[in-house]
Amino acid sequence: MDKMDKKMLKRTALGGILDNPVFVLVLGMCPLIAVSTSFMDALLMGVSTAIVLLLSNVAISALRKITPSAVRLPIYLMVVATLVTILQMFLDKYIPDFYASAGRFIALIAVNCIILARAEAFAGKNDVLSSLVDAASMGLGFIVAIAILGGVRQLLGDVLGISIFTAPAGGFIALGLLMALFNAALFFAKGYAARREARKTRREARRSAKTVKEEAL
Amino acid sequence: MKKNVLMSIAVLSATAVICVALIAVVNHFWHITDEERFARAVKDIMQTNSFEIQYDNEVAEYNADIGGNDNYGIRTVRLAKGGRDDGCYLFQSRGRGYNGGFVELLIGYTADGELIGFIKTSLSDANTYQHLIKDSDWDAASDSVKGKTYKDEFESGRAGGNALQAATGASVTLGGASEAIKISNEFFKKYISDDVVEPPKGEIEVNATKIAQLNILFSVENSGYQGVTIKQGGYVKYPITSDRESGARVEAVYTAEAVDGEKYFIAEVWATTSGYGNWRLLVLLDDNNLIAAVNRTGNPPYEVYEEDDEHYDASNLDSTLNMTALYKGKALSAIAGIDEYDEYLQGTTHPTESIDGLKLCITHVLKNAMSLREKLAEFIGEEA
Repeated sequence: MDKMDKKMLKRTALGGILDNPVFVLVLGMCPLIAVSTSFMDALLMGVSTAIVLLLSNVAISALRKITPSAVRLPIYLMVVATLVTILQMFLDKYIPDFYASAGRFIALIAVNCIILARAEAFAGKNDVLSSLVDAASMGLGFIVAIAILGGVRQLLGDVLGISIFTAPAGGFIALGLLMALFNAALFFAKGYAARREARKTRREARRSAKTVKEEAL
Repeated sequence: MKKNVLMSIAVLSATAVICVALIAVVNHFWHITDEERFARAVKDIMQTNSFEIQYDNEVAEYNADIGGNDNYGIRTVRLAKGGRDDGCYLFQSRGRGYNGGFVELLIGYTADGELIGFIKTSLSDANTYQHLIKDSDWDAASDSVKGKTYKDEFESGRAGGNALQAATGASVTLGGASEAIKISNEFFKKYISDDVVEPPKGEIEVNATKIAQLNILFSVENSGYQGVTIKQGGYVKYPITSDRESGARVEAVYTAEAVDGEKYFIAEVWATTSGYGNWRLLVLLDDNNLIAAVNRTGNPPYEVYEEDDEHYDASNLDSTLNMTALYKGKALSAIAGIDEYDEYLQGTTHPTESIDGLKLCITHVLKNAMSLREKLAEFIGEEA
């Protein structure tokens, strides 16, 4: 793996933060709002989505060389739908209480924008390892985002009794506030990283100038 | 180009086959059997998973009596074997929901007939209202019957409660749940408990109010039925005919005998029209004619007009319906007579829609006159 590949992989691994599917790309809103009324349900929904994302990215990436471009979307959908069906069977068998409450949204994972977006934008064009890293990063980003949202809504709605936060309207309000917070933090982090990079560049420039000067003397 | 098309079809087909095969394999290992689903459902109200299906013949007989069908009736009665709930009963019953739908419940009883609670096992998809009810609301409904007995619920016929129904906006669905419990209670009372269900024959098993109401029917001036007294017959507790679609059912049948020895029977008919309350009529049938009088119970439709002085004259409607022999001397086939009275009533009270309930009662009796007669013939025959 050369330096360029490593840099690319690092960027992909940070995709869950820099291109967070919830707070930055604003994808998969339907299950996000519907299921994030409690921390536990949100966490299980996040993990379910991440598992499908991981497996579908790997499968689609592995099949990319034999997938004709004209029929790639039906194939992606078939793969994702199969994985979701298997996930549904698993949840119904082993976590029936969660499946009973979130079952209809589990089925909707099959058409979740996050899954299809990663399949189309990344897995269909990159190797299996990169796709795996991408899915892990994005999946983790989704889990953290939906779990935080679920936790905040449960805290405000159930514990503090502000009932609007248990309703979809409150879900959007909480999501908006978290999104603002996350993007502000990301903005400052990027600024800090840019300043650090600039300092480093200046330091290197000064160092090379000094070297040139010493050589000239 | 052709190669690409063929390649696309081949890859699509291969992917589909692999996906289906994968699902089939997984389904083989993770398939949930009906027994497992049943056990899951039961565990919320009973601790045992060992049951023995009993009362098959009685269930068939009871369902036939109440006019049961796929949406209405008792499916199974199970006796719990072993464990903490040994000797308890588990009913799987369906009540009618909205728009041809049903609500299926598992209802637990102790051996003495005390309700342990109920859980819903399935709802038909015939209406969306059924899905307005959250699981927590079902739990609350179940809690509301705990500790009551088949006798209590038989009287009240309510599983949840009005507050719950109003909160969920799904009154019909909870009505269906109530019905499932009600028929289970009836079954328990009739076949499992030691209670005597049938009243002694030869005596009318009615209270003083009912006798007074029946006597109004016979004492109507010029009705031609003066002198008829309630001397013999029986009281049928269970609906004889039921016609939910039209919102009417015959709830009880009484027999009566005139001083000259001629026999009559009186059907107590209930009908409802959406938004306009209930009617409960006592309808007398003789050989070919009928008369009817109103029995004011439940939710009289004229309450709808109570706050509307322009369209409501309670005293007029009340006295008109109670003291007039409707359809006196009309042949059973003369259904057109309803319209005559309809015009008269509307002319005095204007409650156009509420009259629909009245018409529904009468037409229901007419529709079922023959089967009612047969029932009565059986009754009278048995007595003889």
